[in-house]
Amino acid sequence: MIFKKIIDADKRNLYILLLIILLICTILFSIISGNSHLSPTTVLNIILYKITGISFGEISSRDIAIVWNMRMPRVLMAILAGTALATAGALYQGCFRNPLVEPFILGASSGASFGAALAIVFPSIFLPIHISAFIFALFAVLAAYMLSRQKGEINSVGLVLSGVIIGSVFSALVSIMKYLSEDTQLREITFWMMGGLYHAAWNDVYINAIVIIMCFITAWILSWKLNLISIGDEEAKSLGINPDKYKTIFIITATLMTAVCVSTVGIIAWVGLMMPHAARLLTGPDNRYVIPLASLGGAVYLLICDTIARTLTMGEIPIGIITSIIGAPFLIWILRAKSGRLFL
Amino acid sequence: MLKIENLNFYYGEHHALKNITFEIDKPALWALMGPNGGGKTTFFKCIMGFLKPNSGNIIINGNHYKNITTSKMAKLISYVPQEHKPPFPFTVREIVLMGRSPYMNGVFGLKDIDYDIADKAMEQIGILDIAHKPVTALSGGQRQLTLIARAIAQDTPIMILDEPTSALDFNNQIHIWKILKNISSQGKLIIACSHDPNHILWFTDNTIAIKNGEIAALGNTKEIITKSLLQEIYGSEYYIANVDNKNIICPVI
Repeated sequence: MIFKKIIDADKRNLYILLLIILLICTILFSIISGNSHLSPTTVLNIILYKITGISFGEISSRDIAIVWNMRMPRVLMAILAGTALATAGALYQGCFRNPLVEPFILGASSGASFGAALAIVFPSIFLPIHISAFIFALFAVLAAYMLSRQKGEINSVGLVLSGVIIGSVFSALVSIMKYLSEDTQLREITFWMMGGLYHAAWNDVYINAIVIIMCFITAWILSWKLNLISIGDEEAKSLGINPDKYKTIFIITATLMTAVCVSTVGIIAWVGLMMPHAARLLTGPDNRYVIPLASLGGAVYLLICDTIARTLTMGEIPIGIITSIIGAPFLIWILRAKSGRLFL
Repeated sequence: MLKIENLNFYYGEHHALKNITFEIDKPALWALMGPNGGGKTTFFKCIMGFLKPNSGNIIINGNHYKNITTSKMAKLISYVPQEHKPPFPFTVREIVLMGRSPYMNGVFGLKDIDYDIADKAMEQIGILDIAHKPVTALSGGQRQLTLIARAIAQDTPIMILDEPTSALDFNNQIHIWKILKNISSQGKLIIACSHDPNHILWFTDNTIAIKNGEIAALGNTKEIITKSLLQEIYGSEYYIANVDNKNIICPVI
């Protein structure tokens, strides 16, 4: 019996290892590809030079700027955003015991959109776009949470419902902002809402890295407790876990990750819904493996999508379009072919 | 092991449990019987700390209920809920391993001994051969057995089961009751509620009968389950037939 356990565990660890290798390959591929053609050796030289301080050949400062100041933060931001959305998706799905929940279920995306729209339409009196988006994303989720909290208890169905309500209120507010805005502002709002990593700079990477890595570690450490929460409140309680306490921790963690990532890259659909499913397909629903696998998958997926977004045409394609176009067929395939292994 | 004194519980105005008092001092298989809405589930929830009683005392293995934290409770009482389908396809082994959660510490916490205990629990119940299957793909009876195996892996002195056989076919019902009898004979206190008085009569040592939130009868099953008690609890008329030295409760049709 012990053998069986080791084989099971090893297979799942193997998946994690394979995805890490895939992620590293994707990172290299992504940094090398772009409109200004740089050879792989040049790119590797620059990265080694920046990390170790030792130069292994002639490097022009223009190439350094392209690789280190433009492509690198974008690549890292894609990885962080993918991790954040996928982990938040897995956390929300476990908490709400519903595999069809995604990170924006509690209104974070609508809140962030409204914050961004406010900042775009009233640039002089309002905070910068990403700070405003972050504040309103948190505010929306907090409002949904407070609305559904009765007598100190959280009802999951009530929470989802109040999330939908708050979401639609903020959507309406976004529409008002669009109505009030001028043409260029309207264009900017629309672009922001389709998501994109073109603004990603090292400062964003630092902030996102701190929040997202800390939240990810919290989620992973508590992943066994998420398993217990996902089978039901009373059972979790009879197994020694206080469901309300851990749900609150998970929702705060997931919301922080989502909000910080949404405020930097805009709304990127599908990753948070799709990646936990893909991970469960590989390893089963044990969140100790779902969380790392989903976040690695999310990182690889967003990185590929972003590379496509910036290299497919001369201009930029909003990344939300690409994640949806690739993601929808994948999810349909999962639902039709594998639904028995995912739920019910 | 379990001592309850003057337990009262209200749902708003509704007096759901009225002055429940009794004591169980040694391991046995106990049945809790009574009509729908009679207070059985409320009673279980009070014992397990899901609901806070309005007055009275519950003492579990010498611990007053107010001093029992959620994690301590998980080492005293294991709980088998009614058969249901979980939303995620955990395997039987993963579900049984969850029974080891109260003993886990550290980050990922599961040790080799936890795997051994889980495997032993599955072996005892006879589900080791389906350990790798997702519970969502099992029959109701197999799922119920999985939850019982989890309760065994939890290794508590007391086990509470909420209608363990309600969703099962005839054969599975009998199978579960035999397993419960077997576990209780190994030194566990098991309290199970059931809607089938025949099962209670055939398998359990003692019975608590609850009606309208009050104890209607309490004691040795064979002594207290009588025509008059059944009529008092359920309302209609019954008679107890004897077939091959087995008592069978039949409704008067």
